[in-house]
Amino acid sequence: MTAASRGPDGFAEFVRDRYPALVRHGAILTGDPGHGEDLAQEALVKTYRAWRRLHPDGDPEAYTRRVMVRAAWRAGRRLWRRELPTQALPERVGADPYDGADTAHLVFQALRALPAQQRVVLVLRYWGGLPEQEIAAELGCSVGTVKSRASRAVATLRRVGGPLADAFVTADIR
Amino acid sequence: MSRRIKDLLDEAAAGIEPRNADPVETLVRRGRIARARAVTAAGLAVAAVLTGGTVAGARLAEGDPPPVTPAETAVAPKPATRPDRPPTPRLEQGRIVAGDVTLAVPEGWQAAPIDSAPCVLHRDTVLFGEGTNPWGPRIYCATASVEVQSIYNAFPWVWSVTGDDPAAPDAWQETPVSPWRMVTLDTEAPAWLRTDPDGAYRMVLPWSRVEVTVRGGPDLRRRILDSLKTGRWRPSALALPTYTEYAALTVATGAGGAREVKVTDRAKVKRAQILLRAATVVVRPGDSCVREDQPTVALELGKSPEIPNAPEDMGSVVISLAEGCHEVVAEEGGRVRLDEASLAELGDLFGVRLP
Repeated sequence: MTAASRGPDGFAEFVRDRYPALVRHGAILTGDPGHGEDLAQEALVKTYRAWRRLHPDGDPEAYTRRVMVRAAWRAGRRLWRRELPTQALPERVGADPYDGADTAHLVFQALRALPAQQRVVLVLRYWGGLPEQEIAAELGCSVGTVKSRASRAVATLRRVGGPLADAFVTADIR
Repeated sequence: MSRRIKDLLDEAAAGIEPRNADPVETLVRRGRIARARAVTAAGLAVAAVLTGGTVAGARLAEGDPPPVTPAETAVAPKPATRPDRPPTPRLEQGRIVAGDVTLAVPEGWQAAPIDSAPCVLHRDTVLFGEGTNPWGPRIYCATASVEVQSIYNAFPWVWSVTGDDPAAPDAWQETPVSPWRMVTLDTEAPAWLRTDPDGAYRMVLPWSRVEVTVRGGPDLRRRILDSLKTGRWRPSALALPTYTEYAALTVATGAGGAREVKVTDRAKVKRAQILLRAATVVVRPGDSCVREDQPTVALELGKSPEIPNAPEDMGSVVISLAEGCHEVVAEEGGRVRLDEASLAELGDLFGVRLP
């Protein structure tokens, strides 16, 4: 790799260090590892363009994650009418290196059953551990919207079943 | 409880390894392309003043390139092909160029990138930009007498705001509007035409993934339509989405209104596809019979996407209902004739009488 192809100072190192974690974040946000990697890359392109503002004094990872979250949330706004959560997801054709008949597979299956906005709220609330007010601020929506999305997400997961649904059986959804 | 949920998500995420072990080079290249596009669009708008057209926000004192004659914008020698992604419109020698489509900037008009234009109606101006939103409402607030944008898909609806806050979640709603009318350009490219409720006249070149919006009267519409140049397209059968979960038929209800009838019954969706695929009478060059005054219906086929940015998940066809001219044009390519019986059966699937 030439110096030019590594981008501005510090960018290659940042990507090398944080890319796997960002891909995992994207996978959870989209419910699909492949799409999660796409989401991470789209966000990192924006990070590249904003690099001068982010390095060395900024927080490029926080910026990238915020871009990812907002992109996933906006996708939900666009898709809300078109997304039809299903109880039984169709089997995928061909081998998927990410797939496995284990808990992780079932968790992703359940996440994919959620509309995008519900999934984003669920991830921020339970994976990110953010309070509803912070989620609302992050997404630019009301706390009521966050509450309703979280509530619907849990209801959908219960319908779908699986380990995530089991975990929610006694969860206190506020 | 919450801890258990987090553990499950952690466990699921822990097993994920990126497919691309070293994406730096890819990201840098994509970042540079994105940056270059933005710079080029702005730069061209500033630098190019042609055929009497001026550029919003900047004028050149000297060095105007020579005017472009129609002969210089002749159709491409090779058959055109549909781009995988929407092209990036740019200003080039007095014309807006978007993939195989070019459009002359009217004499004396301005041209500017839409993403940097102030949020007002720009008269006597062509705004141009890349379609950035596959599924939702336009993200640009500026409008102009003419707008040239690339698009992912041509939808049979418009987006409208419900409530006071356009930024609110679920604020945008899809409202079906009259199906596209059709004409065929002399390059065999189909143009789908529609007047939206806001008065904007939209010309979509589905095979080129380009949309031209005109906010002006019939004379301006005609001038712009006549000014459009595209690559030359070969005849072909319909290109349809390969995997479909739903089919939605949009029919006009008069006075610009429309209703959408959606079916998700697998048998019906499959039958709709079969009927369209069985239409193998490909329209030969020069044989297209569609006109703008003919009634049409639009049929959208697709699957409900689980992820953003998946325009390949759906595609539309527009069908002319004119007597003796049941021509079908698919968004992804292809132009065929449908026989009367097949058209009637297609309508039956949706409980709509066709033609």
